[in-house]
Amino acid sequence: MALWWQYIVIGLLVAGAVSFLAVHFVRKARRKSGGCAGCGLMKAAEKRGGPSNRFPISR
Amino acid sequence: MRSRTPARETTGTRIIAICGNPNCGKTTIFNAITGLNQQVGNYPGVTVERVSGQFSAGDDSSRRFTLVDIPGTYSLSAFSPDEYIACAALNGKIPGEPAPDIAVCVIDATNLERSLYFLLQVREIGIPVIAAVNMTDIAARQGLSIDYEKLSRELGGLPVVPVVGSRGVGIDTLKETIARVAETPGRPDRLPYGEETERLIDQLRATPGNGHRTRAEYLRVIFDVDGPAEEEFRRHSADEADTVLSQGRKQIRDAHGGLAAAETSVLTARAEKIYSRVASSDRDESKTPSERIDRVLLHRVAGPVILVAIMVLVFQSIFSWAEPFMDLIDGAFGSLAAFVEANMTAGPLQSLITDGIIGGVGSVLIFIPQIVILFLFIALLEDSGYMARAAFLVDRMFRWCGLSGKSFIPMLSSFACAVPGILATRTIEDRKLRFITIMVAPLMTCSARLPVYAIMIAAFIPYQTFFGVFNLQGMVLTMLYLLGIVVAVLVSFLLQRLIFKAERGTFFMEMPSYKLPTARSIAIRVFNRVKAFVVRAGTVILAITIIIWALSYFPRSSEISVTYDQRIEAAQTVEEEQALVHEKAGAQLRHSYFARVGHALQPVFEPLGWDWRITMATLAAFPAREVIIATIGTIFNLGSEVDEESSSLIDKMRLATWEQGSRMGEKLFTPAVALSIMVFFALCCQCGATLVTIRKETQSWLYPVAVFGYMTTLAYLMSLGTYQLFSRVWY
Repeated sequence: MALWWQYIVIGLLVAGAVSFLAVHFVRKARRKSGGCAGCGLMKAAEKRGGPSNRFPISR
Repeated sequence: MRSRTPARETTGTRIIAICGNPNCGKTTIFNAITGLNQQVGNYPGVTVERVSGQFSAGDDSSRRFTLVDIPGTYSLSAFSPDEYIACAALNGKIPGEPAPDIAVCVIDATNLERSLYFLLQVREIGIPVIAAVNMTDIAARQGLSIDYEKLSRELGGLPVVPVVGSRGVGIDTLKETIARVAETPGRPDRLPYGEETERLIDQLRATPGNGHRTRAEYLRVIFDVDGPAEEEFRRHSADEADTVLSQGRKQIRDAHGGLAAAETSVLTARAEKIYSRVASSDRDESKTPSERIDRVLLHRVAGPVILVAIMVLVFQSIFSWAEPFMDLIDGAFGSLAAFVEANMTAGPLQSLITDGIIGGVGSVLIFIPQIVILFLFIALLEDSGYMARAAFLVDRMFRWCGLSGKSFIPMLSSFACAVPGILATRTIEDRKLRFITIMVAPLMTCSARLPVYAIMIAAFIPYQTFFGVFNLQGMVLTMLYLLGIVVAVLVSFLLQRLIFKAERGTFFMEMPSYKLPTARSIAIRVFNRVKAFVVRAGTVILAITIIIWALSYFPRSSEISVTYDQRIEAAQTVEEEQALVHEKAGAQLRHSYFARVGHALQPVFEPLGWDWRITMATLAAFPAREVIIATIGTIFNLGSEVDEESSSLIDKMRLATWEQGSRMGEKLFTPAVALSIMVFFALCCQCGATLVTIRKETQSWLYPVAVFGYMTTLAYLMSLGTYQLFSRVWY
């Protein structure tokens, strides 16, 4: 059992990973903006959509 | 709710808001007016940048003004953060921000008609407005002549200043006009949106606690379904007002054929009328370079053929160009694992680092070059103006299945990630059409699926060339992307016919001119995507990998250890010893918690050609798709059946065999199994964030449950069919 400390480190890492995932997904579920407003994709989607499909003049 | 109080009444400083469509040269004019005297910050609570600057104007240049750069937007309909900020800032509704005294609306002279649409909306707010017509030099070169005095008259005497922002032409006149107009009160313009709309505004205003809003604010409440204006209105209103709003909207829909139509038809008609009176053009649209290119790229037959050819070329370059870089990253992770093994005592922690973290997360990070190439092409196609053409071409297919091109933009966004795609469905006014689009958007091939496809194709689909240009690997990847689109079209068709019976909206899309993309813009977009991929690998995937490693490593059987250690000691040759070491690792893995669950579930997935390892790797990937790569990496590192020379994950997968049952010893991964896995991933909804977003957008758990249910069932059945078909014809 010379490696006992490794089991403690692993236990802490696993507990940390579980806690992180729990917090991550709960926060994502509660976030008002829908989960990824900060990643810039929404802005890109709007840009890609041009006038958000609401401007009805085609060339 | 705050009332609209101009800045001069609160601070004594006049606030000038400069607004306009994106790319109309607004920032150039802002810079020309303020010079280096600028402050950059964020609007409160959002990540939209707020830039302001000071300047002097007036007879003796003694009067100080603050110019605020409002985010570029095509209309005041507020859904995206930028639009919301633009609308709120002009209405003076941002907490802590004084309302502007004047709005300078920048008009793109080369796109006058479109810009007038926004200007007409801004005039309804009631603050004094100045129209700064920019890029007049380019318009003149294009043969467009504009009568500015007439334009001013058509706009009810609104000051119109022609400028060339890039050269500073007309900027002094604009500053003088601002100083002059700052002394005059604003007068809201009232466009006739029909008696139903006017009646509804009066009815809403008469409901308790709602008498303080302006007409322009009520227009946003009425026309922006589920928008922030409506949200704010509902928050401060009694149920009675909700009922009035719903009934009034129904009357508008009945009278005008849709809510959006009631507003846009009036605005576009007015914009067209003004344009026809003030502008004359001797330019021939059919002779512009964009028009000539469009004749080929939007051709009824050649257009779709070129679109598919471009897709195939993009996808096959993902394989051919990325390979050397992927080998480099693979080699780096291999060296890192060897270094850890050489410098760390053998034990569980060493296994976690080498087999779990490096073997798992490293296997995912290897795909960075492919992500770079994919998003490089997407950015190039978008910035060049081709993506808008692709939307136009696909619109024909969508019309056949009952969807409109309005659904295409959310679906196009879903190729990067389904979450913004689903949020982008807010632009679809028809609720049924919106629900259909939300339900099929997750079928588009998001970037998280790419690593799964890439590893399976690289390992099991042979590199064969057709016609000297196309190769089989690229073709298979194209087929997988097309599979998502075709299934989405079929599901939409069924939903539209059987459940939702949606109206078909009209799709209008401006075709931007073709242009050369800038290196900076491309680099920023690719960098953001790679950053998101790396962050995800370093957070969610790392955490899941640690848990999967623990479940695959524990419990350790002392009986297996003792038995194999004795045999290893008794081994006569190095080869025999190595074989026993791998056998021992495999036996420990089969003893783990992960394997026990896998063996219990395997019968369900065996008809798909999967053993317990593929089954568990797929199930572990339900929170996030890339986890399958990390899980396969961890499992095959822990229970590796191959020698140390074949260290790459692809080699390990190629050499893996069935461990038990009637197929024991047979190759585990075959082309049929690889196709079965890829089809499953193409159709299954393995994304927690997507399901959560669907719940939020639909305000019901029914839709995420329905999406998860139909996609998972479809994925299983199609995967089963694929394996059963291809295992007979292509083994």
